Amino acid sequence: MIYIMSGMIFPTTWRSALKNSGRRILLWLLLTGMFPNASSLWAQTEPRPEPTSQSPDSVKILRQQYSGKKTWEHWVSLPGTVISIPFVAFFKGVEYSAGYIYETKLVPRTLDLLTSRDGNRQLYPTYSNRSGLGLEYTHKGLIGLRSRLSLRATHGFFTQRQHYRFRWRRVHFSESKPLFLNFQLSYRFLPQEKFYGIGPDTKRSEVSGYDREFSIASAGVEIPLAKAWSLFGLVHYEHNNIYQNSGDDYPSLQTVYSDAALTGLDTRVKIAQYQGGIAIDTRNRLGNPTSGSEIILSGSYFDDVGEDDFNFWKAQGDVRQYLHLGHNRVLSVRLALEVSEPLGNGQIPFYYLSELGEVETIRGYDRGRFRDEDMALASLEYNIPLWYRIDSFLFVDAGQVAKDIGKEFSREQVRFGFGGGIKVRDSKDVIAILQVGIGRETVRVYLDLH
Amino acid sequence: MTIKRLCTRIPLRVIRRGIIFVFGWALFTGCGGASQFVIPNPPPDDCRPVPEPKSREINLAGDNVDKLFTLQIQRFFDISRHLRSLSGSPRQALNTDAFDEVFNSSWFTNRNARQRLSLEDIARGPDTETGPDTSGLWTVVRAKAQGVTPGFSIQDSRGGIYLLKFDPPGYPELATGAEVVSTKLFYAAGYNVPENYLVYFHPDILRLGEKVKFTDRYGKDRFMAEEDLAEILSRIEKSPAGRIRAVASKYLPGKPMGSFKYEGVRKDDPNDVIRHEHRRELRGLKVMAAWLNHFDTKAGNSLDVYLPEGYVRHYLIDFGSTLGSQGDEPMPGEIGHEGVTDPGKVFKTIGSLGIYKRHWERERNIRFPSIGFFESQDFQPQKYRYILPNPAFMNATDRDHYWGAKLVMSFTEEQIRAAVAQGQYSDPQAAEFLIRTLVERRDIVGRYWLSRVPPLDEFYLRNSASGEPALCFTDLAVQTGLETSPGSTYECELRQNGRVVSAVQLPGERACIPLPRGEEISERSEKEVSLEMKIRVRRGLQGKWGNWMSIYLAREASGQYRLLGLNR
Repeated sequence: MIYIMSGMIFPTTWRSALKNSGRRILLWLLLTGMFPNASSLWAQTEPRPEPTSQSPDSVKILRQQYSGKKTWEHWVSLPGTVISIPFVAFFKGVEYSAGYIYETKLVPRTLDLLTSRDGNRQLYPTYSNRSGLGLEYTHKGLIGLRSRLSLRATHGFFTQRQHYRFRWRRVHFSESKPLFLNFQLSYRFLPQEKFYGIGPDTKRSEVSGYDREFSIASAGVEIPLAKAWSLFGLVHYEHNNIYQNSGDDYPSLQTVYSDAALTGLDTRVKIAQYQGGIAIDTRNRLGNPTSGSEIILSGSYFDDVGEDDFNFWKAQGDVRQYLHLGHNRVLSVRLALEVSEPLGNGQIPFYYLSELGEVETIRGYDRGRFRDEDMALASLEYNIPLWYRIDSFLFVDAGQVAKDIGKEFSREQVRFGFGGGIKVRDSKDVIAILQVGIGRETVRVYLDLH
Repeated sequence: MTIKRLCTRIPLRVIRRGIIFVFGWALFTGCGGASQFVIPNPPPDDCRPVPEPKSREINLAGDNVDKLFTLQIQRFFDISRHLRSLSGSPRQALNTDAFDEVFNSSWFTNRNARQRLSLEDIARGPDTETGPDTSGLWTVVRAKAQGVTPGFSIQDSRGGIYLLKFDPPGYPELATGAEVVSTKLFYAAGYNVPENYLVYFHPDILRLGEKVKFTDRYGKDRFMAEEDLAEILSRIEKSPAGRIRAVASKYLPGKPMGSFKYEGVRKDDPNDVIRHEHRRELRGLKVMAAWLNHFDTKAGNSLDVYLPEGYVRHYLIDFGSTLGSQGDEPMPGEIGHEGVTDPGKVFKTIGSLGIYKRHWERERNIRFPSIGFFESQDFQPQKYRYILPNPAFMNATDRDHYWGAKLVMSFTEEQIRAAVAQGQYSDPQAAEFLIRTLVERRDIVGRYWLSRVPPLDEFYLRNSASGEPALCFTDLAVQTGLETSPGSTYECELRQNGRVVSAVQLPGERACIPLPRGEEISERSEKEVSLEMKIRVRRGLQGKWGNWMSIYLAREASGQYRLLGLNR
């Protein structure tokens, strides 16, 4: 004996077994409603008419329900619907916010408000781990079409980090034979800076802190020689104050080191820098180059113009080569070397020593993690486009500090960092970089908004 | 009672049996449900006069978030959808008839796939006139500076109002050609589209109307100035003589009600009772859209219009970003291969350290600036990606795909030529390239989707000369030249209440299955008897048999057969 239900055949024993228990009947009803082939008639129909001579026995003529509501699907999906409520509510909020921003044209209106009609003047937000969040105002073409005047004010999120800067770059009076002048005035306050000692073997646990305040006035000249070559010169004045650490996470530098043990633990340190160098830039574009190279070689003489004896020289070389591997995959190789040497009986303040641990050196280490007179650095970065104007990159950085890198370079003392990140760019330049650096001691996240 | 306590009270064997029962039921129903057949009621006439609904605008940014995130989460938690998927029985379209076709409605009118249109009909498309009068002055009545392509509306000397759309600088005929050709093809397929006319005019005939409303690029609403018009004209392609080629899109008759969504219903329209994601013509649009590279099938590219007759008609609009055109430039390489987000491909790129290359990173060969980037080599209709997830497309089943493929395959090469001719491409080689690519893509569509289900259609009953009844059909794959008759074999089984009454294998040359005259169907012959004819197809002698399809028949007491419907 069989029982026909929705075109399915059930042995009578199953039916009677199911009838034995209320719970089982409930389960049976639920399953009958759950599986569509079995329940397709129930799902889409209302009461089934009995077969008539006009409706052949294996063909059912049924009313179709179009709305899809109040069917078994509605009830079966109810638990899922309930669970999804917070997620859906969140994204509905995002949806309405995005809709509001779009509707009110908030972004173009803000850009319109912050950009002059001719596009030369602009105000925009800026952020970096070192400087914090702030605003930058730029004015292009004030004297000379390629000149760019900028005023920047930033403030740290969690510390009292401050940076105020006036910079006027590439000022030129002639378009045909330009000679660019650069000017800068800035004030910077960097509280709770970390110091781990000098040399390549310092321990992270032996950290001490200090607050640094310095002001800069500089003027420079840039003389283009050939298509990609230029000479540059700079006169730079810096006024430094080193204070006790304002934080209480680690001891103050002044309590750990004496003046004799560490040079530069003073206030009112005034140093003039005279720099000259050559730059070769064959990059195909500035912000996110895919080919070409950038070479900067410079030498600087630092002269104490105050009451101290900080006289030294520094030579720097920085070479970056961009190799296009096809399909916009770019491998960039960087080699950098920095050598400092006191002059006569002069000394080098600790904050003028070469550093490793910046986002510009070895990513994945604390800022200023390693310091010494000399520094060597190598970096490999592999850039892969992800989407329209969004790139990802992977990198490996390696470097070492030493008193004399030529004599003391040792493979065991080379520090490595690796990681990856994402770049957002426009047609000319990088707008934002988010990267994660993994070193032997820590993992660092860097965000830069240009 | 806590759930934990409840669970401990239910014996393990009951839970185990329950699980076995669930899986058994799923398997049982999954295998056995095919013989069931429901003759659907025709959906209510949606061209009945109804009160005017409220006009609405769909927020594009909000809609993007909805499709990219909210919709995905809702689908993830939709248990019934997962159960249907597990049992291999996805929800089918709700507005089909017994033969799996759609009824004419305010959404769709059966045209070329039902009755082949003449070449003149294809060329005419939805046009009811000749376009704006270029001999008189045109008054600019509305403009927009926002969006991918600039445009403005004009009123010609005869009083007709048209929206003008242009080609981007450097790419003459690109967007305007795509707009007109796609309009003709979508219309011939059966969709409601606006009348789009190609016009050539000199900017001297433009006059700025009084107090013309204008939305500038910063979203500010203000009155339009002469400089704004000049600025718009500076951003469009002109001939060396200063003439401008444009598409004049005639304002639709009636009152615009805003876009329609590809899910849910319009609650204030009593005619709109079938959820849009379950409408066959919207699900099947997926295949048409892939064929014509219409990647941007978002709500914003549709329009509901409340007609003077008192009901809402649903239009597809804006075809400037189809074929090889993205409106303001040639179609980027990633279109059709990636949506706005594709985490899978991003992970592949990173995971392979950039060795995996995506379509948009490959070299693009744009042979004709007027055509843009349109190709058939890498075209895979089943993998075609639209810029945003489309709820109707996501619900599409093989039956919907088959129906959509029928629309595509209904176009002959001559018809495609007739449509492309309306694009008025100045370079005959460019037009020829477009025709060839459309034909190749059409065949790729057909080859894939017509192989997923038995492509047997146009069933009818006939009596042979000797009076033998027969069930005849057309094999669309053979008819459209994708397969050959000699290479096809059909296996047919006639069943009555699950019992095989007769079985036969037919060679491809014969597309009529003889039906028994009566002696085989002995039971209850005094009454009308229902029968199921199951058919499957094999291509080539060594090929595999395809899936079964069923045709339902009724044999009346008089011995006459009647077709009831089919199930693929």
